[in-house]
Amino acid sequence: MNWVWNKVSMNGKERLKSMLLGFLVICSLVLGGKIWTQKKLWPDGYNFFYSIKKSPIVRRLTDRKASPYTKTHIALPDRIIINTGYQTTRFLLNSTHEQFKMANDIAYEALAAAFSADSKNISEASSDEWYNTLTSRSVYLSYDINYSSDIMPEFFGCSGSAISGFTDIISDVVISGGDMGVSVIFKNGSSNRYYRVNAVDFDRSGIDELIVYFQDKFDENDTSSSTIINYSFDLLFDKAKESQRVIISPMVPIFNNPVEYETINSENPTARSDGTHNSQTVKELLDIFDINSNTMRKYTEADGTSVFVENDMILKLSPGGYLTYTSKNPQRSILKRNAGSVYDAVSMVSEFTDRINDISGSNKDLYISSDLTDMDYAKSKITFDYIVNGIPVTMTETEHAVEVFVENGYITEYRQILRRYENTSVITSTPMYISAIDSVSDNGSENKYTVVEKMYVSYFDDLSIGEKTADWRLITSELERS
Amino acid sequence: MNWSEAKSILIVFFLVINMVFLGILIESDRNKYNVNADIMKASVDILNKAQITIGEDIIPKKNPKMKYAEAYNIIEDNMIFAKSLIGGDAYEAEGKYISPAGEAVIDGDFFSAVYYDKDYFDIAGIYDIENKIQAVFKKLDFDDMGNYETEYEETENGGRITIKNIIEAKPFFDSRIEISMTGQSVEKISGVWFVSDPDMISNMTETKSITGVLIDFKNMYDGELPVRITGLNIGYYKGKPETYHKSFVLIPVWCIETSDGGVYYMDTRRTR
Amino acid sequence: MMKKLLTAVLIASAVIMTAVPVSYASYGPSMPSEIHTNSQGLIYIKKPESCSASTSDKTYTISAVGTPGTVVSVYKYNASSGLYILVKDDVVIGSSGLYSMVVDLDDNSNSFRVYAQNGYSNQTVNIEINKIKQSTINKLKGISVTIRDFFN
Repeated sequence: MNWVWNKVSMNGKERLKSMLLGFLVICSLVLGGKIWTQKKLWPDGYNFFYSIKKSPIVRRLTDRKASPYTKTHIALPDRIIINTGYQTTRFLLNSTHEQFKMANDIAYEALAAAFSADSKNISEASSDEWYNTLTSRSVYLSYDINYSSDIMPEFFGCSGSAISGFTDIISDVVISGGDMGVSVIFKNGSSNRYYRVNAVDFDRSGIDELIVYFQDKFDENDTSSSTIINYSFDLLFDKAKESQRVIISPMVPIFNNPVEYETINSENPTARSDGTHNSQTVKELLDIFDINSNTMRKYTEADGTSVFVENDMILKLSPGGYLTYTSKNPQRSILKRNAGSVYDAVSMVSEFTDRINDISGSNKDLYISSDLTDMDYAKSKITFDYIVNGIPVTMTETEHAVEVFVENGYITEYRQILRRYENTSVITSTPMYISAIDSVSDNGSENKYTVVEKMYVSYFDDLSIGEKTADWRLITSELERS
Repeated sequence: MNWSEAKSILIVFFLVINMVFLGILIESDRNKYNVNADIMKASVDILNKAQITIGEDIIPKKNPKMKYAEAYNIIEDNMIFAKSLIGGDAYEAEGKYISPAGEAVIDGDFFSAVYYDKDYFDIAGIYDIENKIQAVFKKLDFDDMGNYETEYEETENGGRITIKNIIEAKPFFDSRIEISMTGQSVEKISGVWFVSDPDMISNMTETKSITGVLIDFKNMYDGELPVRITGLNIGYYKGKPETYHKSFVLIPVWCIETSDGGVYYMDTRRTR
Repeated sequence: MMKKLLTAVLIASAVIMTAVPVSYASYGPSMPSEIHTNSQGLIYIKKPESCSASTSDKTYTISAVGTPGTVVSVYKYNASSGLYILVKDDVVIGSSGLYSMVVDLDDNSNSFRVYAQNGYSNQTVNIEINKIKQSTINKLKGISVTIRDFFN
């Protein structure tokens, strides 16, 4: 019996010793770790682990990955119009239509093929060819801005293109099935000249199937309000006659019916209910602009705008969600690597904007609204605007939602109206297009034509918080009557 | 040696290790805020070589911790504040505010009021400085002015009361109110005043080492040499009074006073 | 004699005063084939050019330019009644002077009448739209056309 007791006791003792040893080992690891990472043991301002944390490699792995909405929108058409070959029936697709992605993917591949084509497959086309193609089975890509023919191919994965030897600007594109492959006609909106590229090796079946898909919808009477009837040139509204006071540019789409849309609610994503800013958001914004929260000065202006100052950098965030950043010394700015080309600069700026939107909770969809043509690499301005439900948002109190000033690859100034837009489920419709045209005519001069250069549906945001509706937006100019 | 004996040895070994580690941590924590004497001596030598002298008696032995504080301007609206200074019938004219009682100027964070009406503040029978101040504040509708210290000095015509702002028991160097008296009447009131928000005060955080601050001072000083540092005090600083600030996160600074009458504010925040 | 003369004048005046408003009245849901108009300058049809066209679409857009303030309606000929039936109600041309309207098409021949009225002036324009098969259009537009294709 005693022997049994001793046996049990010995096992218990061993177990106890094992537990104690394990505990001491853990303690020594913890205490040793505390000593190792304690700041006091490092010279002032230097911490090995901190420098590892801030190294480019670790930042790349740990920085919040922003959704690349803005970047992917740089080369996205604002609308795609499927021409079925029927004179008065076409289908307009914007980014909210379920077929938009399908159509854009097909168009992307066709454009990539066109940009890769040899110069022997490129020739100048006449305006008749352009308009005939639009009245036949084809796909029309409308862009918000003009692109330099040197820059645009890069967005389609091509480092250069023979097309830049023919035209310096690309404004619009029409894709149709050719005798061999596909035919792509590029329009230079500045010179109003056209250039056809025959991408002979590209399989045209995708384009054909896309058009047939919509043709079948039309044949089955499966049309919706997105069906537009005509371009201006179809109705000869681009040619002045008799008592006509307004000329509509040929490619402006004419909608027979009012356009239905969903109203949206606008809010400032950085504001809390008590009117102060979300502190976590502010902290992350300071971080992304590389402003040291330990050494900055922070104060509030009379209107409640929070101001953060560190050396040459000033970041401001107003109660209304207006974010501005300025850096007087471009050499110490937020783009760590020098942007080597316009494409690099635009891509980096759009990535940066995506991160701001991610942090602030702003609307993720933005489109580029500044021309990518003769950008001066030394000093340029890049702008973006919001797009909701496939409809652009026009800021009425500022020029654009996002304005970025870049000098030699560094951001020297950044301005953004931070906004989050949400659908209200209230469906309404715009007035008839003709009433918008009549309104601009009312404001025109008696001895001049009013020329409608662009016309589209847009939400209008006056920077107030609340419901926003859409209406026709017209870009006009004047022409002397001859 | 069997495993049981090995465990016993390891237990003793790790016990000793942990004692040592614990000792290092306790000692390190105790001395965390002490200024290392050797480092201080070396710093003083560097200053001396740059013809900047400093008495050892004013050098602190510890690096103090400071709280971050956000403070709010007592001026929320210029017109409303002007009316509180010189009466509800004040009006704006030619860049200042005027009333039968006097006139006031508000420039950024700075305010100043001169009184024609010598009896505007009924303080003739009050002799205690603190009570005088309270009577003035009451007349001006300045309630909850936070903590402060007062100084009084006799002048040719009367005296001057200086009210110095105190935030979390530390001086707020560039926030003060001066009350100039002629006899027993208030002639002028001027100053800059911010009140800290108790909800916007952080916990104690470490400051930059005083030795580092002194070296920074040596690098940025561009006045006449040789010079002697006559005062070294830690507190808060805002700066830029000519611009209006509705609120401000106060910067903990060392205030360095020099023998040539200079006053310098050195940011004492750690960079990381 | 004077009495007869006076009566004749009165009757003539009554007829004239009735006829004038009748000729200026808008036509409700239908319009006879023959009507009187007194203006040629109220509206100018842009499309279809030459006021006739062929199409394979189920619809057609008529576009025009007219004097601001002109009221425009569209009628379609109904062979069985011999009348033009209102298919598109009054639209007032605005300050831009532009007008467009989509009409539905039946197979083969479609006769439309655009009726414009402005004050005491009125004008009509007849438009013929022929709806044909898409295959026929393609053949007419086609690069290579054979006799066999044409009759298919």
